[in-house]
Amino acid sequence: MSEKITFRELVELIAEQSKQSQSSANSFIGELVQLIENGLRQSGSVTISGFGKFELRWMNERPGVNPQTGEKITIPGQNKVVFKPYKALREDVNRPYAKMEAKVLSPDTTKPDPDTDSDRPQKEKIEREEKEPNDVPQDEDKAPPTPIVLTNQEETPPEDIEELLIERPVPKKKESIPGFGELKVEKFEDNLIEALFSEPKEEEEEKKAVPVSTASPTEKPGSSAVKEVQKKGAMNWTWAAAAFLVIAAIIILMLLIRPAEDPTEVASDEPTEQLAAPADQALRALPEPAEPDPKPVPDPDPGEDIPADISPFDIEPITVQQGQSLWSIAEANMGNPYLWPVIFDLNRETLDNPNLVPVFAELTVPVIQDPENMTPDQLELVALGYLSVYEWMAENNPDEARYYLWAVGVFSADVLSGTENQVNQDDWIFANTR
Amino acid sequence: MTYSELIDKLAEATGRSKSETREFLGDAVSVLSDQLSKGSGVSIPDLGTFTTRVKDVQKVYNPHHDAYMLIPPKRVVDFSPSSSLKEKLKFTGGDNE
Repeated sequence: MSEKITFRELVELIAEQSKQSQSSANSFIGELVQLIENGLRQSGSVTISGFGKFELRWMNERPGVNPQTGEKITIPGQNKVVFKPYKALREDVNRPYAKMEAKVLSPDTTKPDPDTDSDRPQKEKIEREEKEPNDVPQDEDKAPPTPIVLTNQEETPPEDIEELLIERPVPKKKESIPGFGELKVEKFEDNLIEALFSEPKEEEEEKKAVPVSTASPTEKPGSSAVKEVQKKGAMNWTWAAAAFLVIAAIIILMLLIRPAEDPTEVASDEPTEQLAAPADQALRALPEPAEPDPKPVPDPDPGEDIPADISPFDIEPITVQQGQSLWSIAEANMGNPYLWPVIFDLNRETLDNPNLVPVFAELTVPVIQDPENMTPDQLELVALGYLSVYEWMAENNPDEARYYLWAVGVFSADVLSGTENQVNQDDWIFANTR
Repeated sequence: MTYSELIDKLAEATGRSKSETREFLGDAVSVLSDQLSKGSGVSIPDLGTFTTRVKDVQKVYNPHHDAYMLIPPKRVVDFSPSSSLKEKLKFTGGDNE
């Protein structure tokens, strides 16, 4: 537990620090408080440099229960005063914990897997900026004995963390994309969960089976994933790759069955663990049927065919303010942060790097009337935006590029199928498999 | 209200120059930050209470690695507005709505 200092002590400290009298420090704080209140009333937010920002946030009315009578009531909408600490304050306050860093877990256990200990420092470098790996918390019990401060009132949850997450420019793929990708994402997660928990043994065996077949010249998504696993050696990658493999093998098999009737009896009677090898051989023999949708591929180069001036969006110019990212601009101007790639695509001349937006840059930003119900044209533009980001990522961060290609498919399957011959085949298969 | 607007109004209200005001406010902020960094709470009448709180280890999903991660404990600042401030601002509209 920590002590609290009284306001009197605070005034003394401030007076001492600023070499002013206590009474002037006292009245100064009084004026400051008054101004914060007025500022909140007038503009809804007050900024104190180096400290934080006070904001009014409107809470909509919501159902509640009177704790004394158990009666259901409606809590009327009202303003809430929130305080967002700035980075300097956050870092100061968090200093005792600053050395600790995130740790990757194998997906089905809370405890770290001892087998992967030797590889962990390598992985952590990928996860976070370089810090000493010594202080990694094993679990709650080993948290350092720094005084834990309890709050008496629970009305102000720690807004700052959520704000931080929201302001990241890169979308978090795990979350469903509002209004668009929900079904797909959930389906994928179900598959993954199913794969992780219901058939771990089969996956183990299949994993062993696949490296044998990597001698095949055909690039198979599973084999490259397995190589990655071997490189990084982390348990969780293995699981993910194994799950991915199962899904990929099943889909390839199903597609093979359709055009070529012959392998049907063979394949359907094989137990799961031997699927990978026949599928691989068949893939080498018949590369064409492996396409999930054998369209004539009529789409011309999708990057260029829609010029900005006839886009289905209305365009509005904006100037980037300090602290804004494409993510936050999309959230503010387009109503959905996941639409940020459109801005990137429209401003390709200005922006070299979607993660670095120059302050005061002039950008054209589309205006969307109803981000929940976008027209097919708009969805296609969003998909082209993601494609543009994918191309950038493919050059600069190839490991993560495939997630953006996947997002292309979330917004428009047509655009994705048109890219087949222009993108890395592994990435394309990844995007289609999900 | 931006920081410079705050300084302007504070200078006007306290009859100090802007640079004095800026310095004074900077001192006040650094004292507050020091106290919070030490883990002690600070109450300011009519404004509210600043406290710190340790967020426990969290387990989150990292989609890029298809794996769960442990996020280390973290000490964060909590602010509870005073009841008088809450009441006064309850139904005034900021223009950020």
